[in-house]
Amino acid sequence: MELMQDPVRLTPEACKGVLVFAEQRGGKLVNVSLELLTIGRTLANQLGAPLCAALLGQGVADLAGELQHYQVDEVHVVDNAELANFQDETYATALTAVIQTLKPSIVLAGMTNVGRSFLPRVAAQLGVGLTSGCTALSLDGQTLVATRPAFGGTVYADVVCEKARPQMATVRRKVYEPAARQATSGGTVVNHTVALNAPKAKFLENVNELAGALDLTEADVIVSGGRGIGGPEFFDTIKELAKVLGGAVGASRATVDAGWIDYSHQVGQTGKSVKPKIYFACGISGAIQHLVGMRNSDTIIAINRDPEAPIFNVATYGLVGDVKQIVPALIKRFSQGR
Amino acid sequence: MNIVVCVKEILDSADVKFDAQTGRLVRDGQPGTINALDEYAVEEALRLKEAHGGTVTVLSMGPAKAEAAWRHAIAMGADKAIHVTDEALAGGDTVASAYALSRALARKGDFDLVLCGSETLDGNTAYVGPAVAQNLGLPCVTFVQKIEQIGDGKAVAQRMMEAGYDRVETTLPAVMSVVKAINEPRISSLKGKMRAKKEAAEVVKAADLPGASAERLGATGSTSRVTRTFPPQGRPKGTLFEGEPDAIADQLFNALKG
Ligand SMILES: Cc1cc2nc3c(=O)[nH]c(=O)nc-3n(C[C@H](O)[C@H](O)[C@H](O)COP(=O)(O)OP(=O)(O)OC[C@H]3O[C@@H](n4cnc5c(N)ncnc54)[C@H](O)[C@@H]3O)c2cc1C
Ligand SMILES: Nc1ncnc2c1ncn2[C@@H]1O[C@H](COP(=O)(O)O)[C@@H](O)[C@H]1O
Repeated sequence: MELMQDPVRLTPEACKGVLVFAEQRGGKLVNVSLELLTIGRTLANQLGAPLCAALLGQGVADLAGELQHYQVDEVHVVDNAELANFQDETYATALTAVIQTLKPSIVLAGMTNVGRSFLPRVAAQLGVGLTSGCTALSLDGQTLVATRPAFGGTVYADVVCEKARPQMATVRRKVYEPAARQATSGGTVVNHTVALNAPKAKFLENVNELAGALDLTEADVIVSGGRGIGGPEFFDTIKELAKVLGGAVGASRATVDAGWIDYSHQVGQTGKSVKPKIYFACGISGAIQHLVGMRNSDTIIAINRDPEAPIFNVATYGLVGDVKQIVPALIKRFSQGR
Repeated sequence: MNIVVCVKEILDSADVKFDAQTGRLVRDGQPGTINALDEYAVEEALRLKEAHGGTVTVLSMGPAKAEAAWRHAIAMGADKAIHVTDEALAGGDTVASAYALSRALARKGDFDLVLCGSETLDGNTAYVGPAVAQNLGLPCVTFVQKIEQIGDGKAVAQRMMEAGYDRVETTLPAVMSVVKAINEPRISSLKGKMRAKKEAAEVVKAADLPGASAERLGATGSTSRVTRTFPPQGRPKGTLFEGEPDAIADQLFNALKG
């Protein structure tokens, strides 16, 4: 085992501009990357410095061209067979190389599983920190002020890394509006050649048994079931409401632990953090660990027979009564429309 | 199969309180507990040991008094504990912590696998696992929901993704960070708890960390600073609908339409 040398850090004087990691999967940009181009543009304008995007993949020339429609000054591309699928080591080596060449002052990435996996490696290579899961970004002079929840969302903190460069942060989904696509393309594409060895941890395949199911973290509507739904069978009714509303199905930990539904549906501190336009909590009490995963939803609708249930403290609309009766009534009413 | 599990003592977030005046965290007198996800990492290590033999060592860094996490792991069945504690390490951010933990791992050596929780429930950074791997030049598989096979210097693990999971093949030694779906942690036996009470950890000081430069450790080595803490914004008071299910459904429909 080799102990890596202490990295030589970049200095603030040497760095300028904003670099957004433009994450793509299967040749498509993930939404949060476009959202980052919005805040990236704001920060770059305030700094009077360029906004750049970093694109990693194989055969991504078209995508680089597409990125030129988002008011990006420079698109930095590493096109390499070892980047065809997400692999921590090759992604980290490639992005680190781009950063060392470009020397941006700020590096932003989405808080996706990909971002959360390899950004720490990039930061460690550069000897800097990474403020993860931010909910707001602003500037204090040249310094990035990154706001993030801690202690499972019971407190928020403003974090600064004044002397470290780049200042790195991962940002939650849906904090910013996606950048608008411009009809005209602009900026330049810069190709980087980075030597990449086969990584020690190799991607084999992606297995998606729920292919076609809506991704909870991207869904506009989520209908979640809790212990109050009484048993696994009622998830069929929850799914039906989700279908009528074009939404995805979520769950409290109690139902996941009881084996009523798969863990991939769990919302909360030890599950997914979601921010849909509308979140339905059906038979969910509203424990703090559940709330931290969904309390930033635009509209929260809680259905609970206990009018004192804590979920009503965060609910935009509280429906007091039996889920067994109310959910079918909602299916009926919302299928009717008008 | 020699496994090191990184475990951290944290405050239970449900117990976290804030000083209304200063907005600061009140830490004093709060009992610590093992970071919930680290319990899953310990459980996975114990299961691998049961299947393949070897040892399970837990590594915990924190104040001298922070013994809850490693003692809990011993009660579950871990063989021994290393407690990295030193005034020089206090006040470290995640960069400094990952730096110190990787040096502590290098000092220990002789392991095939390092298991971490995917994130701590206090810091929620998910930084330490992959950063430690980077510092040691090791591969890392994050968000592991299942280890399909392990042995002969390699392993295949499932990394949970937003859509399904990736199957990843890695050489050993490797670092893996686990999610809750990986297993169901055991309840410690009475015998285990007795042992945990008596067990002493090997104490490691900053000076014992190989190749660690003082300016990268603790508060000195930290690059980040918290300038302000504040409670989450409350949500505006909502509207309650009561009565017949159909009437409630109608009220909600109209409210959302409007
Ligand atoms: C470290 C840690 C991490 C955790 N992480 C998570 C997490 O990520 N996500 C999560 O969800 N939880 C998490 N939890 C668990 C959390 O504390 C709660 O135990 C859990 O959220 C409760 O689930 P629930 O609301 O479905 O069940 P309960 O708390 O049992 O609530 C059921 C609710 O249903 C109502 N009800 C019952 N019957 C009916 C009916 N017929 N009609 C209408 N209402 C009805 C009841 O009034 C009650 O309010 C975590 C806990 C810990 C300690
Ligand atoms: N002080 C510590 N001592 C031991 N392990 C730690 C420590 N801090 C973090 N870890 C490990 O790293 C994981 C991720 O932590 P974090 O990056 O802080 O979210 C945890 O689940 C632990 O397994």
